[in-house]
Amino acid sequence: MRRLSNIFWYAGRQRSPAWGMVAALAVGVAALVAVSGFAERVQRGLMQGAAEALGGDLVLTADRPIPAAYEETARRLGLRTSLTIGFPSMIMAEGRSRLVQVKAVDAAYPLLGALLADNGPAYAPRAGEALLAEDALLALGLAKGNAFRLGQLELRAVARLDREPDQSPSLFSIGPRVMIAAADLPASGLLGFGSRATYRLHLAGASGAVRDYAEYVRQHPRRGMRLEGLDDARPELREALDRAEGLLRVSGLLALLLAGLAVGIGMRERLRDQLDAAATLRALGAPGRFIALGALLALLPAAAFGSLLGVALGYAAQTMLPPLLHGLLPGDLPPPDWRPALFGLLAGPTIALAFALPAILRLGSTPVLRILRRHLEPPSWGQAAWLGLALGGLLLTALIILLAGPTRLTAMVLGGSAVLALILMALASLPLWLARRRLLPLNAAILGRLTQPGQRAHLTLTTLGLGLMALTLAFSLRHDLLEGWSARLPADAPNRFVINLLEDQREDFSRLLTDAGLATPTLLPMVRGRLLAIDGQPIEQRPLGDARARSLAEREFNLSMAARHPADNRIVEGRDWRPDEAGQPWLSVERGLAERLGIRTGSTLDFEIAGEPWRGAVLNLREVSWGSFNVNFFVVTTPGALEGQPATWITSFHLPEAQAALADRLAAKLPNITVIDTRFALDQVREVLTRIEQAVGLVLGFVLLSAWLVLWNAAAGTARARRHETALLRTLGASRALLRRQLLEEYALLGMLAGLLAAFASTLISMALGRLILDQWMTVSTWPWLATPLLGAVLSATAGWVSLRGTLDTPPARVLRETS
Amino acid sequence: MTTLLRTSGLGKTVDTADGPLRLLEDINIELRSGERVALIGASGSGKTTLLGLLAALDSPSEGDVWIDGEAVGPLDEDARTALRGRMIGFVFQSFLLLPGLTACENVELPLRLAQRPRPVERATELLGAVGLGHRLGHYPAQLSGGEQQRVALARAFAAEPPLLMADEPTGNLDQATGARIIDLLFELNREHGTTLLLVTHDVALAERCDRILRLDQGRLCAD
Repeated sequence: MRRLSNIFWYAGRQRSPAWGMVAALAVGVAALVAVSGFAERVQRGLMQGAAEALGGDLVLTADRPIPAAYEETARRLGLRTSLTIGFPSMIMAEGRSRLVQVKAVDAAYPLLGALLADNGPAYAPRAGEALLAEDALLALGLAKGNAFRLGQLELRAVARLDREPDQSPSLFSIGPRVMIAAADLPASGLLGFGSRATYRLHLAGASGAVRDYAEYVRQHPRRGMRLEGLDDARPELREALDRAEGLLRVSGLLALLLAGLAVGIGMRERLRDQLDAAATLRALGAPGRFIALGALLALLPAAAFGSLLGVALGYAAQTMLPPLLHGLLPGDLPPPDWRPALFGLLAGPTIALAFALPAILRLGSTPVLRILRRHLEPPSWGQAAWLGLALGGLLLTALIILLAGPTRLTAMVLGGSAVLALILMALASLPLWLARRRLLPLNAAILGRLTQPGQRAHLTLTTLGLGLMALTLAFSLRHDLLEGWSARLPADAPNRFVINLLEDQREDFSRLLTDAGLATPTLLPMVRGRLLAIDGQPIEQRPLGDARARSLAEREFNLSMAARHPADNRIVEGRDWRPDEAGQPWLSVERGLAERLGIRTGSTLDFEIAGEPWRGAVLNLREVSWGSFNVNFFVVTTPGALEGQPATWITSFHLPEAQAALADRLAAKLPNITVIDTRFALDQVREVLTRIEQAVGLVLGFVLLSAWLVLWNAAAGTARARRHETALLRTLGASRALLRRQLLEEYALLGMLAGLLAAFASTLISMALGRLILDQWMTVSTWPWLATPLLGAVLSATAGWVSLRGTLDTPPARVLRETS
Repeated sequence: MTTLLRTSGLGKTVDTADGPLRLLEDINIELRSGERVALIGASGSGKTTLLGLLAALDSPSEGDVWIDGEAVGPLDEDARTALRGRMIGFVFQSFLLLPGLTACENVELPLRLAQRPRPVERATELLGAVGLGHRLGHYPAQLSGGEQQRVALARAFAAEPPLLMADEPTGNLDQATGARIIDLLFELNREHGTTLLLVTHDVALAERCDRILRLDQGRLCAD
């Protein structure tokens, strides 16, 4: 006990680590807190929006009335419920009729979000009332207050329906939307036997109750009934945001790792000054662990302070990020919560410890004989250093797994960093080897400094190279990634979907488009079928992993036929079909669906199409870019394979703003088709990409600052030696101007060399990363080869200048007296 | 008088680029309790190497050292550290005070390491005895060379080690200050009844000791 208190006594009297380390840690933690806090809030915001888009935390959908037990269970669990029933029907007024999509709602509707009508908030219609979408009003020539018929009902149009919170651009809404009160339904006589209605029980409440309810439904399955959760919402936005989050998290981790590196270098140089004290302590009877523990405890207050500062800065930075996403998420971004702060407070000291341990344990192994022979140092690669590296590595691994999860990306960041550090160490030897042989065209003073024993130039080159590499990598990822995205969303990306086109309307439709000066559309057939069995095993008997897999399997599939797949589809397993295989029942299945349902190439799939069985064999698995706004299908077969089956046709095309009226002409000419406007969703994804680029730019600012702080710490560590050397040189007549020039030249040169190494390494890794994570080959850019050495030179020279200019000002006499 | 330290056939050889270099050869020494012994020799004669071996700071190539009857050779580093803490006090030419600790804390340090009670009171008392009662809270950088060496003396005697090893304790001081330090060292040595091994190249100083050991090219010339 007394020994422990003595260690605390000693640690409390140590000079706390330099401000450079505190600053580095603060910046690293700030980056982490800002990024993870922001990502977490975007996720929550997205969930919130997703819940609104879904109309609840959960929606139980069925193709026949939902038994009362399901609603009663929900009420018992404390969930709020609202039942909506959707079905297609005809409305009539003054001799005109129109096929519409009816939605009957109860008084509790909407559970989440707001219903908008006549440009303002509205309530669910009461008995006898109806809200009609503008195109329904136009089609029937109705004005507000007019009556119309729906089945046996006579209803009054009370307002124009502007927006339902749970309306998504569904492909199967047959026509304009009409909202009525559920209480009117029985009198309408429309929901008799064989009607095609969809019953949706919306549920909202506490997350525990939501989970319990999902479990209840899982245990009480019914054919044709499925549960939708928040994961199903907004796939096109989710894909972009997920990638952005990945990129932000990697950038945040890089900033944190750089901060750790800065602390490690700072500690190494700082503890170098404590070798005499360590040797003296050992001579006085202190064991190595007393010394190491003392240094460790002395580091903690600085680590804690740096982390606290970082958390505060991180929260401040978070306030700068939300404006970038303003308007993109439904409603405001949720307020920050405490979790990122906890992360930061945990991550800061851990990363400091992980990187400082090698230096600390090495200090503990200082040879006691140093008290008599001052040149003796602890071995660079002794047992203690290895132990420190191993423990530090373990801590770092644990931290990264905690922060980023045990994902492939985590493994790559970790493994990649270790391998790159080794590669850079090896590469850094090359310029030093050239310098030693006087093969670099440099002046003698700089060559001398580069080749000084103690491997300081080597260490600086390696760490600077690592920092610059991280930075180059982050920039090139951002550059290539966003270029890749933009390329996939060209200015003329499709902004209208057309469905329900009939076989004999194809020609008319194409002509309407070409007459308007648009390209001939690619029309794809769509045949609806229900999946019955995979590899002969009925779906009901198949162990499907999760609720989503089951709902995917149980819903009606849209099967299509195509001679070749769209350009943005990619076959990832199996082979494409040949032209001479047209008519064969070969299937191409989307990879995600195949993974969820356990479908492999060679699997047979049994469908029921228009009441008849149909069997196909899977020839390949295909990757589909759902964010591309092109028409895509989960299951496609060869041309002619579904010949004779009831098909409708679907297409997407780009309609320029100036020709927007064409959509109305199409609907007027071909009244059964539905034209879906995807401009809003498309614009939203485009907007997200732009804002993400800005957000990533902001986080890269942190990475840049971290890299600079690494350099500052590395340079500051050499201050003592340089002050002594400068004093000697000034005594020998060197002018201040000469010394200043030498300092700047030396650090600029180091920065430039490190920049070249970094450009080389980052080119390699960005190619590998792009291939492995983003599934796209990135083009090798030339800019890192020019920009990185330049940036390295500027960063290094400024860091060297800021941390070492003081050494030029100290009077030589004082320095020489101090160090004698 | 009992034997506090003895060596038998002590030797040290190091490997150099030009082959093995013999630094010490067949050193046999015996230091008795309370004795003051000077170790003298020219630069490069092996004084520092021998001091390192005698203080269990380094391992010999041949022979062994016994301190208080315990052979140093078989001890691991932790046991040697404990032995040093218990048995040996040091005074160095370059003082080797811990710059982050005040004068008082520097003296407290060995007391705390030995887990002695009331370290602050004892350190204050010792600093008073070396005439630095008014400098307790000063850091080494705020003290003159002579004052720093007086703090080092107080620290060396703090844990009352039976054996004190002083390596050129006046080497960094002017003559007058050096003389005062030596007087103080001998006085404290007398008071505490400590055995003193004084490494010096100053013959006059060596002659104030009870016995002189002379090293010449790694061999002991006369005892």
